[in-house]
Amino acid sequence: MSRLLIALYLSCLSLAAPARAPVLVVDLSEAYTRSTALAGLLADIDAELKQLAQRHRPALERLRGELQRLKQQHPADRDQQLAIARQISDIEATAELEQENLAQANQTAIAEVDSAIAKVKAVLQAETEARAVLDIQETQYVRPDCPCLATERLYELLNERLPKVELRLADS
Amino acid sequence: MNRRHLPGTKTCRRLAISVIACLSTSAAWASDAWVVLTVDAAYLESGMPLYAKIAEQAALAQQDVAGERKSEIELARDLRQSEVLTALPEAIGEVARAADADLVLDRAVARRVGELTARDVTAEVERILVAQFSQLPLEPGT
Repeated sequence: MSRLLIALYLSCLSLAAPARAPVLVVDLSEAYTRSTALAGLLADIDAELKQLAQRHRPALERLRGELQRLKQQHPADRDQQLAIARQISDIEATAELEQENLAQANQTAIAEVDSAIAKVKAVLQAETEARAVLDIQETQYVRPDCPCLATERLYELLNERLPKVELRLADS
Repeated sequence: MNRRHLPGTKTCRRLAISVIACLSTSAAWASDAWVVLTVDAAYLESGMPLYAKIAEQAALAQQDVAGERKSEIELARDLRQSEVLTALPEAIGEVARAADADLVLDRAVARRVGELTARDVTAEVERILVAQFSQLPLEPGT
């Protein structure tokens, strides 16, 4: 009889064995609010943009006013006008360069988060022994209450691993 | 018959417990694997004869008309194709819900993740879209 029980147990295992590792799905559409790093980055970019807009405004307004005044003078001082126009152009070029630096720093920070997301997906896959972790965009349909949805765990791991990302601006 | 070879009450109980344990173990394992279906997304998005039929409808409507009316028909054709594409996710969802599925993947993605035994429901999705759109007339200018 014990042989029968062992045989039954073994056949039970063989029934269970075909169940394969699951495929998990994560939804990253809310990453800019759910990832603390990305939310922080967004706030930093916003602050930098405001600073950039303010930084050169007083000088530009003063020079443009001066240029306007010179244009109305008779006789017009062409050399002085040109000098001021050149100063305006230089400031605008600097502002443009600063914006490019900011855009570059933003790209670098986003790449850092992307890399962390890829690593977190690998961790998630390993800890659940999943066959794959798919982005929701890679799927055609996911049942809303599907146990395959691992978004919460992904953000938990991501925020542990990368709570903040630095916006590293190059010197312009 | 020798009584020694007949299973006793105690053994029967053990056997019953084993069967229950076996069934519950299988159920627990089975719950780890979701119900996955596949579709041929490229075919549904651009290869279905339904799109050719819409184009044919537009070509027929464009015969003997000119200028602005022709452009209106072209626009109506593009709009109808967009409507089909917009209805596609809902049609996939409908089939998935009817099958009590957890996930629907494109065939190529399914292959990539090793989901090779999933049932393909492309034809079912196509049937829904055909039923919804194949008999609708093009309505240029609306």
